Amino acid sequence: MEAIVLQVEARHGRVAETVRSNGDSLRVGRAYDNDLILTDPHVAPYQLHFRREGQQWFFAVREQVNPVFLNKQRVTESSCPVNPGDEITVGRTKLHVFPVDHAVEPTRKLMVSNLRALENHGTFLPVLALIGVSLVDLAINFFYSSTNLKWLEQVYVVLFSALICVVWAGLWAIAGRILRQQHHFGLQLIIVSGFSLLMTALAMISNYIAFYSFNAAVEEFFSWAIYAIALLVLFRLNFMIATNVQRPLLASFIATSLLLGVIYGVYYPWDDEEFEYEPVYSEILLPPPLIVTDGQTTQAYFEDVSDAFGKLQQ
Amino acid sequence: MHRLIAIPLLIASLLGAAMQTVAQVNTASSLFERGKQAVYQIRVIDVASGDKYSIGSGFQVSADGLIGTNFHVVSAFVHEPRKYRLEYIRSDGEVHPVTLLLTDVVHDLALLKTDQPSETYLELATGELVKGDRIYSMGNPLDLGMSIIEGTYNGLVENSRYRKILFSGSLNAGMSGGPALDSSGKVMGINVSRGEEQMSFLVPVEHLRALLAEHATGAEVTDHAERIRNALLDEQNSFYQSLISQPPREKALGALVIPDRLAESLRCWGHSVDEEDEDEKYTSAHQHCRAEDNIFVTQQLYIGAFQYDFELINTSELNRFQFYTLLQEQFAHPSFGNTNDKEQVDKFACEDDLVRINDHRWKVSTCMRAYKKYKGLFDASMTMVSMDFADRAAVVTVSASGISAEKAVAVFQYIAETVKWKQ
Repeated sequence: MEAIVLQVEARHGRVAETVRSNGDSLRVGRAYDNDLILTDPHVAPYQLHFRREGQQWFFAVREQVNPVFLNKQRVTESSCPVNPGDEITVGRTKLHVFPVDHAVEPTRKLMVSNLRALENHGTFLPVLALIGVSLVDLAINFFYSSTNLKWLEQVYVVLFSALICVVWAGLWAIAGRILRQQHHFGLQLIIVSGFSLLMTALAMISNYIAFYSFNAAVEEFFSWAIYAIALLVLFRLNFMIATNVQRPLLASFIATSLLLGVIYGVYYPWDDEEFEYEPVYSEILLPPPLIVTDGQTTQAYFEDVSDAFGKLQQ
Repeated sequence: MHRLIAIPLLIASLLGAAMQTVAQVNTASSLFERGKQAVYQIRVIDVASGDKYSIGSGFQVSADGLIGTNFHVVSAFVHEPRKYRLEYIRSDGEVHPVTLLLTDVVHDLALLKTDQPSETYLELATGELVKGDRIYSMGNPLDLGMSIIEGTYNGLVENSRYRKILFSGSLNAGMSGGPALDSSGKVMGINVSRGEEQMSFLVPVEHLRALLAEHATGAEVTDHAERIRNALLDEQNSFYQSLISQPPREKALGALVIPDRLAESLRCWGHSVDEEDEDEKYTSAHQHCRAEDNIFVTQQLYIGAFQYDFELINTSELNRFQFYTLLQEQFAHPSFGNTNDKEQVDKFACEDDLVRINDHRWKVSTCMRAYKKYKGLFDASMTMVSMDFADRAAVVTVSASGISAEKAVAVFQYIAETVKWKQ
């Protein structure tokens, strides 16, 4: 093996430091004259020294303040052979050994490059997006339910939603700062505002579709489905901007499932003592111009009811 | 001179009142003395602990030891005969076992028998009383000792599905199943329940007489649950059949035509929401009727409730989306409130659809749940809302507990087809 590559902590989603040997020697430690400089305070200034002898690479531990592990086995020898795929632990840092011809993943397309351009406007555009979405929510609430609309209450509701958006964007910004050294708060805020708008639009569409099912279970499915779709889109963008995960869609799917699982658990606790006593029926109503069917005859409907009773009797 | 006349008159009237009171005291005390030998405390004993589970009263009605009481006094034993047993206590403290012969769940009566009868028993009255007659109720209130309570006969309760006597006297828990006596000491009713203060109810004695007559024919019941189921089914079927056997009498509720009161036994009320009164952006007018008679089946299950509600809603201020949001809130099934026991009822199943009724579209939802222990009986409810207008709508709800599938469908269809918009 002509040369080796050392990579620090190749965890997905984080920027990895990688160094290739140049010649027959490679030095690792905290001192600035090493080939690979580690910032871990539990690593010695001159911790490891890699050497090539023929086609084989070896490493020596130069300081023994903290133990060094090779593939989880403590290193006691003065010189240890090292091969591609090995994992060396020094202090709190893990080093992975690769050959120079190790295949790297294909170049990923920067799908949100256009979105990133939005950040050039600073916080103006994200805040504008949030206010816009909040105003749309307020208008829709008014348009649909003003029978006993309390404006102040609605404003509080909208402000609370906006606060949740800001907190959500803030958490992802922190994640981005940690994992990618870039917070992208403004971008995250635009995305979560867009999610709020998407939820409103999907809820209206799903209401319309679910109405024609005349089935409580389908109505329920649609209400959960819109959460799932919107959350999936939201997480996909959040992950893409704040992390370097290799499969953001899979990560989004897992995150969506977990979040919906938690929400479902809160809504439908396993202790089901109360579930018997309320009928679950199709509740959605649409105003006349949106109803395009004529309905079945009274006789046909009550025959269906008779059949339903018959099934219960069996 | 006037004063001289007035004083003897006053004395005479005071004496008269005092003598009347003494006569009443004598009546009550002599009735109690005669009756107490034949009035017992009925106890349901928990076999495992050997202690009493529930108590009530009962009375001997024949020389051979037949005892009348309420069904609800002995219902725990009826439903779980292995877990409980029955006994009664005489006024002299003697305790004897007693067996269950017949039940009348609809009128809340049970007929028991003892092998060690008392020598005295109470005769059943045959004559008619008139409102205002004094009657005397006996029983063992709150397990405090045999008592007698004097009150007034106020005739049969009006607007009731089941014949009940209104007794202006104060029954207490533990007196259920005890006799109510006329002034000659004959049983004219059986204590059953209390209403508001100084208002109680008695079962007319003819229902007990019917049970005695059935027993006299040699009738024997081995499966009490089946008898209860049949009695409930028969009673409910007969009530609902009487509702739908006549063509509906129609009445107007604004622009809506609805059926008039479906039965004399229903109590109907109306109320309205005014835009100005309630600070709302719509007006609504309600008419709702309900049968306020529940049949006790177990502590966890009452059946027999029937109610329906017609609501007409108009708006000139709400847009169509706002109006249908309002309707969606109103489009709900009434709660039954008759049981919360999973052992008694199954889960609800619902059938929902858009239905064309009398040339208009309605969204109709019918939900039902089966009784687990009484096959063929259901709780069923229907709610329907008109879907054709942007500024007016009608919401109809109907619910019945302890109804057969066939009758539920028939009653719901009958009501649905009667409701229509005026042309």
